[in-house]
Amino acid sequence: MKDYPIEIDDYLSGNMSTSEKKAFEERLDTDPALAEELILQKDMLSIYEDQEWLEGDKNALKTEEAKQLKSFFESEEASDLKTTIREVVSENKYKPYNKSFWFIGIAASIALLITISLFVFKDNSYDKLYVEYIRIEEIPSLVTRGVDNNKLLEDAQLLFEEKKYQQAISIFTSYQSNNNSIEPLSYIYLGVAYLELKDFDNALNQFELLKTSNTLQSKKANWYKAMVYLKENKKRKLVNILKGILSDENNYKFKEAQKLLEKIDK
Amino acid sequence: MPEVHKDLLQKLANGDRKTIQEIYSSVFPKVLGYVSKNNGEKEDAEDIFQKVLLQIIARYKVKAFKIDSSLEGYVFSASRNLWRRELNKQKRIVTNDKVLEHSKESEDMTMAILEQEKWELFQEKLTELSDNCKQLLQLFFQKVPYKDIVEKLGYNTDNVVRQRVFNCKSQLTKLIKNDSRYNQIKEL
Repeated sequence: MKDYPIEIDDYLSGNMSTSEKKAFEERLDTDPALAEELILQKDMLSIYEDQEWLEGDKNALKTEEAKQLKSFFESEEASDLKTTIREVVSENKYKPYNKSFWFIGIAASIALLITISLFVFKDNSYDKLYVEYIRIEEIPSLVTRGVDNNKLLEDAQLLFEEKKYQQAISIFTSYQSNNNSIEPLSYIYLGVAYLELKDFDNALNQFELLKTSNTLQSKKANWYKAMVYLKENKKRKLVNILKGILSDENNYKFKEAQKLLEKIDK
Repeated sequence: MPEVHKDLLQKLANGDRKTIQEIYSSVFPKVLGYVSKNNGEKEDAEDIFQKVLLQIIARYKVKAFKIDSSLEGYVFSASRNLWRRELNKQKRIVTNDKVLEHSKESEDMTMAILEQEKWELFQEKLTELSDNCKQLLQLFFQKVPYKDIVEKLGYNTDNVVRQRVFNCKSQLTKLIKNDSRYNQIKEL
């Protein structure tokens, strides 16, 4: 039985000489059926090897099924469902006790009430802590870093320093979308700009990009995320991320994280 | 599809909190375990869990959708896939210029479903092979060298294994191509 050309295996496993490979690739250009077979074999390898996820081609969005799915996701019904699911998920975060011990439940509610009042009371102090710890002046400058200073980045940094965050955001944004290799510091600048404007989601997004950028700056991501949670008054998330930083004393801002945790845990 | 599933899916699609809670209690800990082992945080796991439930609802609403295994197993496997997809995406966002191409969420969710469907088709076809082929191909796809397969499965030579792998892959290819779903997703 032969349901696909065996040469494909040799091609995919690298068992071809340079000239065989060249000849095979030339055939691919002229033989769409062969090209299609190759794609299928490649997809099979990728799916069955079970390592990286196989992404699809956006052309598939044109199919009838895709259109229906998309319009479902855009519907109000989908957004209501999403909210409901989110609510159930977040209810679980604060459900640490076995429900059958109702008296503990009551104790917990009282504790919760106390915590809530503490939160309200502490709001102000969180703001002060943010101002104390954000240390904008510590962000390395984009301008002195290389010979080829990028004019766009210079301008953006200037606006940032003048606290014209909205304008800085639009320049950094267009810089990031138009460049292949992105200066990792731009994630910090853009993230902090969003943070100053209380756009927490976008700020977190930038620090996540920073984290995954695999550069020297990546190690700073957790600290900046902590700053987001601090400004946002999200104590639980803040405590978690600070504890993460404290797991290794070589982590960026280890000492600051220690102090901050002491202050908010009082 | 077992009646229980149908009923559960229906309730889920109606946004029944009790059903969502049940699925959460039985599956979320596993999703969290997988995500945290693979560079994710609790928030990521929650996000994935929520998206997978919405995925299932969308598929249930748009077309006949059935789950052959247990719903729990299904939710976990779809979550695992979605997290792998998310990791891929993060990698790509950093290396390419797509940082702010916040391709609309609905489009992304749709793509995720189409990719998941393709994955399911391929997995399903693999199970239709003979046990012998399945075992052989599993080793092959795990990149176990031919000479080790020879020993493990008691074949005579590398060449016999090579031939047998090709035959099994041929059968699998044929099964995939003959499924009507394949033609629909070929462009994927």
